Amino acid sequence: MKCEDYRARLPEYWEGALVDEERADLEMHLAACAACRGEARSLGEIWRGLGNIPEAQPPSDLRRRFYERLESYQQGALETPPGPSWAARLRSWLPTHPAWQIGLAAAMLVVGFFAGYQMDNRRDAAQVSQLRAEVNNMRQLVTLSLLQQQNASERLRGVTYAYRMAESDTEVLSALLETINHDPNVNVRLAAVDALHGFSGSPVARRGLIQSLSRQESPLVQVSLIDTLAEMKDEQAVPALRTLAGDQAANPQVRQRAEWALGRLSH
Amino acid sequence: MVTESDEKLMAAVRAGDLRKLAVLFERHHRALFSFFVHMNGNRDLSQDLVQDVFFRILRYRHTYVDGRAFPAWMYQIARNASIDTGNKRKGELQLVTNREDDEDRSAREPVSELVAADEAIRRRQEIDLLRRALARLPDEKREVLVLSRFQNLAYEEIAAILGCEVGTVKVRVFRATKALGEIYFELAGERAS
Repeated sequence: MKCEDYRARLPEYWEGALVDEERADLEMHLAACAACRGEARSLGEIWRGLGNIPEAQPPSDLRRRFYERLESYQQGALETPPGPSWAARLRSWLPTHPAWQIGLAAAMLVVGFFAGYQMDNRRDAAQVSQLRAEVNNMRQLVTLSLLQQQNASERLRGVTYAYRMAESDTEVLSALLETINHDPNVNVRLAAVDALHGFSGSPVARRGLIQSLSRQESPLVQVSLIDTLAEMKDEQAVPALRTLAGDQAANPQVRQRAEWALGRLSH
Repeated sequence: MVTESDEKLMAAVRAGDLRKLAVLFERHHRALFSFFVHMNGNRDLSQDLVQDVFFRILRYRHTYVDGRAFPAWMYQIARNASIDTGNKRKGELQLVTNREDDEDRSAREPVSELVAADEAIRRRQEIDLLRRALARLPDEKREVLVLSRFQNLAYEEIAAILGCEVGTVKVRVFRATKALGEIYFELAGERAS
């Protein structure tokens, strides 16, 4: 191999990406060739220096703008474009005689006046509820996307987003339950249990929490689940709590807490 | 929670589940933003480009081929978007000093002692110089360097993005580093004299 070939391997060498054999080969060459050794030293410094340049952080409204556009794109994709014959069809309905045209115009005016009078009251309410629906859709999207991330702190952010959701949102609810049961990170699971407090009115949420009780292995999460169930005062939790309280393999503190919760629920 | 692969998510987007694009966005928008900032030095323009890339992905979702590495596909779209707007806004390349980012980093490192403060100043100067050197590097050299050093992409992926052999990528990465080194030492010499 020529010097040029060895040098082309330097970036991988600095990254630690060479296999043992290649690395040993390169190191042997560097030991023997002063020119390559000098280049490796000075450029290695540059390479490492590049690693110190902080990554540019995106502005905060980048995310907001993306979700807004995605939302409107989805709406645009759902609405079917009007057919080309629309205007023609309308024209065939309209009268051709001037007298009828005037009559129709007058009738439309009257209808329009009354309709306008009626609509005025409803319009504001309709706009507000439409806006509210749009905001909710966006929050749901952010929550669900964040809960999918590899990074635990991103998933935590997803869970905190869930607090802003309406209780009736079943998709977010099932994503939270999924997180409680399957997220590898204890902190994320704990946060999800807390977030489910907000869903305490939902029978699905309560059933999910009860089922999760037998699946959890982390005592921290178990205790948090028990506390939540005790607070919800749901008697359906009694059998699951009883099983846990009698489970010899379970953590003693968890069993004690289950016992305590049973006491509260039986009152 | 089971995380789906990029490629599976993209296949779902292609099939019409547009919400999955949000997951891909959360995973990649930061790296993409930093790629653009390195390439054009302009935060506003880079922000627009990130938006542009994700909506190109939506618009051309039917052209995504199963099993194709998503990052490679995304960066290819990013390069095209960059070329399209770059031609319109040529000559606007400006150097961002990214003060916020720098302060962010130094805030994370405890600089309690005088020695450490001295070291921090030296390091900041070095970063400054490297940024200036990078900005002077020809576009194609800067690109290959940014993809390999900052975007954590494997050489195979870079080869797919640039449409060349893996061996060629290796040589180009080294040559770009060498060219960067020459500019850097020249700038450092200017400052010393």
